[in-house]
Amino acid sequence: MKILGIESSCDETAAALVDYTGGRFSVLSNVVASQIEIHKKTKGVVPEVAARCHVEAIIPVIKEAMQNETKPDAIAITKGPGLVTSLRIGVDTARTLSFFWGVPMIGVNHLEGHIYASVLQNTAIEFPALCLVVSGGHTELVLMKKHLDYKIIGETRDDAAGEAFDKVAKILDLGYPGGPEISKLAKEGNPKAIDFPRPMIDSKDFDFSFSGLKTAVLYYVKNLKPKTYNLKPDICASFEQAVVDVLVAKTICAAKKYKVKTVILGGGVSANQRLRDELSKAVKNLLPTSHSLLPSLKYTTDNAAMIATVGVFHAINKNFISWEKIDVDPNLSL
Amino acid sequence: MSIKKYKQRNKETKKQRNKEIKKQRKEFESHGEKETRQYAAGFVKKLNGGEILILEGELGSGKSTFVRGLGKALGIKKTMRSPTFTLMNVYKISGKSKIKNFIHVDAYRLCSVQDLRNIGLFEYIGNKDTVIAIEWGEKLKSLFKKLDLILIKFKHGESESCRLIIN
Repeated sequence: MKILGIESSCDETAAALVDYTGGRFSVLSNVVASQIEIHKKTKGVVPEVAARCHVEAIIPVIKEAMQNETKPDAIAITKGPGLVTSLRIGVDTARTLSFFWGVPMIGVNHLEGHIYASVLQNTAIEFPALCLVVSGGHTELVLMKKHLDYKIIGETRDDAAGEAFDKVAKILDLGYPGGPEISKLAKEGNPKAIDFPRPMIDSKDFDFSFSGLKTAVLYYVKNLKPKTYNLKPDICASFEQAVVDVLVAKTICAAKKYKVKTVILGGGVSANQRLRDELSKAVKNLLPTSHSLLPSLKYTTDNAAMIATVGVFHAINKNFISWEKIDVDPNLSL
Repeated sequence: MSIKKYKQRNKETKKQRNKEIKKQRKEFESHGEKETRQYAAGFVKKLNGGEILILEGELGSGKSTFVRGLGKALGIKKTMRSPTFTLMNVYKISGKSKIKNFIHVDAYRLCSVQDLRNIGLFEYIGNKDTVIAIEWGEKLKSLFKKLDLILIKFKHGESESCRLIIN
């Protein structure tokens, strides 16, 4: 079965062709046209600009992804959550292709995509599974009892983890997006140099809060005496450590409570090396009967291979939708 | 009267008037998140519906905390997450209050009024049962000229927990 995935929920226009034969996934093509360079100027995605870039990129991207194939068996498309103007372009393009090729459509939640990104390594998910989805817009702990069955057991009460990275990068005058810039500097810094707060680390629930941590960094920077040496690497390393500590602690705590067999990491922040290392280490040491599943780096950021992968599972369950009925939902939840 | 003198006098009356406006402006000093939320709850009593609040202030100056306080006092029970990524969060309010919708917008990444239209905010502007709070809205201020706006400024205070809210 060959599924064409299309993704345009934020600032990446992406298409991918994924083949599923004999229980194994293979990515035949994975094309991403990124707008990061364009949005660097505004330090964030401008909706109108993003939508125009999607319009320009989407047909060439799909054409490249389709290679020499005539048509896929189904089209998996991100229908939400995201920017409504960006989503619309992906959905309308997919709808046209669905009509033209006469193939069914599958509406995919963007977050499902991030959860299933690590499945592309052909390691099966053992249930129950717990997934930590961390990105610029999301910080969620999702419990899965079977495929495509999601229950959010914890989420951020204010800012997403990725958002905290972006805002701290702004405080420190680093570039956009903030995550990679902070991680780069953090490598040269001491993660124990500054004792930033670990918000809600001892709370009984599995919710997160990162707004106060950002403010703590802001005041630390404001109160610095005229700088005699460059403290940025230490600030970055200590901040990153604080975020990772909270994410790992809550994930492990939830994994123990629900006795999960697999701990999955997904979303843009899953590219963070400190988070990857510490989460897999914690799972290995503290949850001997579970294993961790990390997406390979190329599938951490927004891409369509992960959307097509989810599409495979929906196709097995025959969750198809016709081109007349599919619609975007900018506030879609799992 | 010479032109010079006229200009001089004009300048002085202007100064006087500005001073009076400043006096009328209320400044509130908050000493923590709780006080900011309480202040917001008091502010809600003055709202009749149809208002657009423009919140101006640096990162971490208390805008989001204030908005969460507003929402809670209006009767929103859902977690009010940051709209930085989604740009606009819409909350429905059930109950007796005549305010039925509360809209939380983050305009940090927006450039024009067209952007506000694109995200769907225009459906709510002018509705008597809706209150709109726009963070980083100062850059859209001039474009909103025809509308009645309430400007609220946020500043960092002297100590780490202290914030100034100027209404």
